[in-house]
Amino acid sequence: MWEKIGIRYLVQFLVICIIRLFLTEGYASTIDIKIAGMIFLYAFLFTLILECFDELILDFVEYYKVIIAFLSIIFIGIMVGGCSLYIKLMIGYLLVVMLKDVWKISSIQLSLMHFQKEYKEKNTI
Amino acid sequence: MKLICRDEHRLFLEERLKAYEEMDIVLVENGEYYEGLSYNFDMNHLDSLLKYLENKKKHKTIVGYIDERMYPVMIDDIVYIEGYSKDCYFYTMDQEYLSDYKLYEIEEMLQGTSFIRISKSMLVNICFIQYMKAEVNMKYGLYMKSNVKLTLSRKYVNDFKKKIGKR
Repeated sequence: MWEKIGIRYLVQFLVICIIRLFLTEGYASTIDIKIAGMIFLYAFLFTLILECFDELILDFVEYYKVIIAFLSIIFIGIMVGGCSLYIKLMIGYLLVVMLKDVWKISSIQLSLMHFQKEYKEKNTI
Repeated sequence: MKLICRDEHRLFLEERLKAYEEMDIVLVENGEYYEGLSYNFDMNHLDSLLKYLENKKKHKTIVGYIDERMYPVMIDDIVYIEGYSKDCYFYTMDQEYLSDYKLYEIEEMLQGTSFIRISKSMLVNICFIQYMKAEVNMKYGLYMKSNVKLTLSRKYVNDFKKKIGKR
């Protein structure tokens, strides 16, 4: 579990670094201690949000379409509302990862539940 | 399946019981003699024999040992089966049994059931999986209803997905 969280944290950290580099057009000297600290914090928050979100999806897997629609509306709403390009890119990235997770988890979980139901029905006399 | 019956009934019974010929059972017609464990039937009540065989086919059992005592265990009650170099154990919700068979033999026996191989040394009953989560290195964690966590190896992921019919 910790291995997975560690890798996830590293991925978030790298993505945020790349977004920052992209915004500063590769001007790496803008990364000072304060900014590095912020990136660490953002990566930590992203990891936390995504881990909790995965647990949550498992409980509401049957409503995955509603979750996708709800997330899209909320996140696109935030992006359209006035905020900096940095935040927009971060929110956009978070949305894509969350939608991917919803799809991945719910599709396999629903297949599993469907198999179990079908097998039970077939084997009940 | 071994059938002990009168010669005049044999052809008819063999045809009628063709679907069950793979089963490990001895059927003895009333009036015939067999020494050993068998199921006796009457030609006038074939429907009850068919019902019994159908039931047995759907709810197979396997013999397990706890402290050298023998127990018949319903296959549908087994959560997962683990094979070691010499021994093979199977686990129900609350018990652990030693088996006579090797893992590959059990795997062959359980073809067409809800069991599937998830690693080199393990078979799992899909019906007991509560949920599954992706892990690193393309593996999946299988969280069982018996509060055990198993790991689906990368090598067996495709077969697993095919079995549960994931698109």
